[in-house]
Order: sequence, then structure tokens, then C-alpha cells
Amino acid sequence: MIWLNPQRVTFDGELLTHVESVSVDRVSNRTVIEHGDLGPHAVFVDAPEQRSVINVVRRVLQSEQFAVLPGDRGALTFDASSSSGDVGNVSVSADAVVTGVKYAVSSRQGTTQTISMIAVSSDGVVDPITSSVTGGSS
Amino acid sequence: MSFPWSVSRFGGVAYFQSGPHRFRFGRGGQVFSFPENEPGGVHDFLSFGAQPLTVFQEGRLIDTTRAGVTAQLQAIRDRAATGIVGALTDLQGVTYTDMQILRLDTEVFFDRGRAWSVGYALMYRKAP
Repeated sequence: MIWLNPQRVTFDGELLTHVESVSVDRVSNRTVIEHGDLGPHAVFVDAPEQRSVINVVRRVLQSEQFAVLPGDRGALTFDASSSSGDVGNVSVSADAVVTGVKYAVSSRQGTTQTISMIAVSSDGVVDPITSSVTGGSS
Repeated sequence: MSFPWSVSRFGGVAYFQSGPHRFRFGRGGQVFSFPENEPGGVHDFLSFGAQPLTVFQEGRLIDTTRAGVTAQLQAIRDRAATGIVGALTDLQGVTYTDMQILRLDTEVFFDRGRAWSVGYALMYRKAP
């Protein structure tokens, strides 16, 4: 999932400015792959351990001292336009833990900051990324 | 859950039909030892007869619920605990008579992804 130009992006109550995108990578931590005796191909595959990795990409316009650190936990929230063809906006939220804050400096593209997080599920079953349509036209 | 490839049975019961599994043979040859004072003397080993047929099975039990996997596992555990001899039929339809389960091992965790599952390993040996 990726949301371009999200609005009102906050983490742990703090407003994150100039956010260009928020993406969620779904990654399998551990994959079960089973074969049988009858042929070469896998006959059962499952992903019993997964991660939802969030990357918040900000454009940095001036020098700043960023207070968010790896290990910090809080609610990431933002609003974004719905997918093409849909009506209204979506409000997205996730309980997340910061795993990295990195910068990339480019003379062509300027300076960007990427805040990486892993979303935390309330019970291991519920998807840690929640979104709801908030109405209005995109 | 059941899968069409699973036709193996032990003691006439299809314990393993919920998930994929494989069979392999254990060690062959003879049971032997070397006398303590003659290490490496290949002509002086003591033989105790042929190795009994040993078959290893590894696979995965699958269900939509944890309780379902637990029930399958418990059925195999119960059977293994009795040591009762039975016929083992593998996935190719080959039958080995007078086998008994000597050991049952399971993976540390039950997995829950799209389905509940747990990996297991069984050791069978032909009864004396």
C-alpha cells in the first residue's frame, strides 16, 4: 500500500510536515514451504509470521533536529485520497514502533527523510493498519 | 481439511491426511560394535543381527483452527504412546507391516498464517 501526498500526518501526536508518501510493505518473517513425496513442487505455503513495515518519506526543507528515535512507539495517523475512482478520503492509523530515521541528500531531488516503523497488532490477529473512509470528494 | 495427495495410513487410520508429508528410510546394515580392546578391527566386530527396518516421516498437520490441529496431534500422540504395532502405508501405497511408532517430535510453535499448522516428525521401527 502507498499513499502519495498524505495530509495531517502525525506520529505520537506530533505533526510531521512535508510528507511525500506513506507506504506499507507486507513482509513474511517466516515462510512455511512444504513438499510431498509425489513431485518437485511445493504443496503447502503459508506465512505464519509477518511484518507490516511503514515508511514515511518527508521532504526536508531546512536544518532540523528530529526528536523521533528508534524504539519510540506511538500512533501514526494521516488522511489521504482514496484510490482512483473512489469517492472520499481515507483516514489511516497504525500503532507503530520506529525502527529507523534516515536521510538522503541529493542535489537533484533535495533532502528527504525516511522514518521506518513496524506496525503493532493489538492481538496478533487484527491487521495493524486500519483505514476508514471519511467522506468528501478527493 | 484434507488433501488428495494424502493416502498414507498407520494402523489403518489416515492420521496425516490434513497436510503434506514425506517418508524416508533409516539406517540399514547390521547392528554391531567393536570389542573395547580392538578398536577399528573390522574383522573382529560383534554383530547383533540386521538393523530393523526404520522409517522416518516428516510433515505438517493443518486445520482451520488450533483445536483442530491439536486434536490431530493428540490422536497421533495417543497412538504413539501405546506402542501398538500396525501397518504403515506410505504415499506410494507401499505397506510396511508390524511397525510401531518409537518417537514423535513436533515443532516448537503452532503456526498461524492462512491456516493453523504444526510440523512433526515420526520415527517408526519394525517390531522385533
